[in-house]
Amino acid sequence: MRSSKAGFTLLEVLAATMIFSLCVFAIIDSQRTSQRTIVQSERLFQATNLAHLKMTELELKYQRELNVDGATSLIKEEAGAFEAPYDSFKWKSSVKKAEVDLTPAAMEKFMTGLGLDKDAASEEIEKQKLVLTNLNKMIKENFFEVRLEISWKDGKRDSILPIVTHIIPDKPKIEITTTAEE
Amino acid sequence: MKNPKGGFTIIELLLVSVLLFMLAYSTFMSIRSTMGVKRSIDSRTEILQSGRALLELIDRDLRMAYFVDAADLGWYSTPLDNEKAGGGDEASESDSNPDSKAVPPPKPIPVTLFQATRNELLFSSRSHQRMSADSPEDDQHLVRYRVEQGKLIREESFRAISKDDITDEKQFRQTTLVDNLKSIDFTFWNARSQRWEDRWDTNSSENLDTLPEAVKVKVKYTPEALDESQDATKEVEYETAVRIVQTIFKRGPVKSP
Repeated sequence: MRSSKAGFTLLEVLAATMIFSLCVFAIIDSQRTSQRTIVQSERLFQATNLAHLKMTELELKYQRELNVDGATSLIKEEAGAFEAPYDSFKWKSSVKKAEVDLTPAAMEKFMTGLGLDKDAASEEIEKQKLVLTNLNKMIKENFFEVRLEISWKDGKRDSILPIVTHIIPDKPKIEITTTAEE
Repeated sequence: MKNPKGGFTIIELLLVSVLLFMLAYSTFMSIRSTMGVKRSIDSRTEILQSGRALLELIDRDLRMAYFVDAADLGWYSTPLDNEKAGGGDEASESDSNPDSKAVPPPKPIPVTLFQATRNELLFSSRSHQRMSADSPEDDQHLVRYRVEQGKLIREESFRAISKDDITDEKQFRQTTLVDNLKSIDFTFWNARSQRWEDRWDTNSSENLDTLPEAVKVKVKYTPEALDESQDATKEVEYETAVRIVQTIFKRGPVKSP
């Protein structure tokens, strides 16, 4: 590439322009990213508030249903949208029985996980078998897990904020058995 | 373009200076717009942050609202209890020699209540934090939210105080939470009638000695602008709900409708 007048070649100019435009693009893009982030965090904040709001309403409603009608009608799923100005947010709820694994096998795994000797753990579980059985039964019969998801659109992406709580009836059903389950 | 001295021609110089100026100008403009964006992001972050802090504060106060009813009065000694307890020998002793013992002034009976309308709250809460050791403060206190001349004001007492001191301003510390309040709206869930109420008073016959199960808060205000940019002065609106924890543990009998 020889130039009698010692100027720039086309290639050099192109490369320089490329680098310059990349720099400009990077600056503009970082601005856009931070603007998007702030919009996202605003939405997330609103979603958190709405989740509080909806969860409180659902808790009050389900608590009432649980106390008056019992557990049968409680296990269900519901969904809906919020009213303006929050109409870009949707909610979905589901109620199910709470699941806690208190079987001897699971407890042994848990206790050895805490650093307990395996034999000592199984001995301890053997001793507490009846207590564990009753506890398991009580949780299964009385505890309900309420899960609420708030969803909204963040640009093209869907965002979801899930929260979970548990409710029990005012008068829990407690029947003590004397036979331990395996 | 021939130049015997090998320097620049005037045209060349002009061209270069114009180009340089354009480059400098565009750089300057881009820096300025970056600064503008930074300012607007800062102010939006600030607005969001203050909104979060406001709701968090209301949430914390309401969540820890408590009420002591007649059945719980044994928790602290009342003048009546002292009288009863000292009914035997001590009473006759003090009768015979009234000046021998200086009777300590009775501890004020903390008042617990929840009196609220759509834009004013006054309630007892356990949310007070002692900021220094050995200060004569308490975790139990009275909190009041009220609106005055377009400002949302929060007042808290340093300790649980008696009924007579509610009007005493010295017992309260005052903070302005929002300067340009458009509206604040509290509604209260009545578990008995299963609906949201406009007002609540633990002294009235309707809600005697009970707390609302939940409180809905809706607040609209214009945040304080950090700069003169447009979106900084936009009105914001937040809505949330708080469950009062004590009511979960102190629920009365449920009646079928």
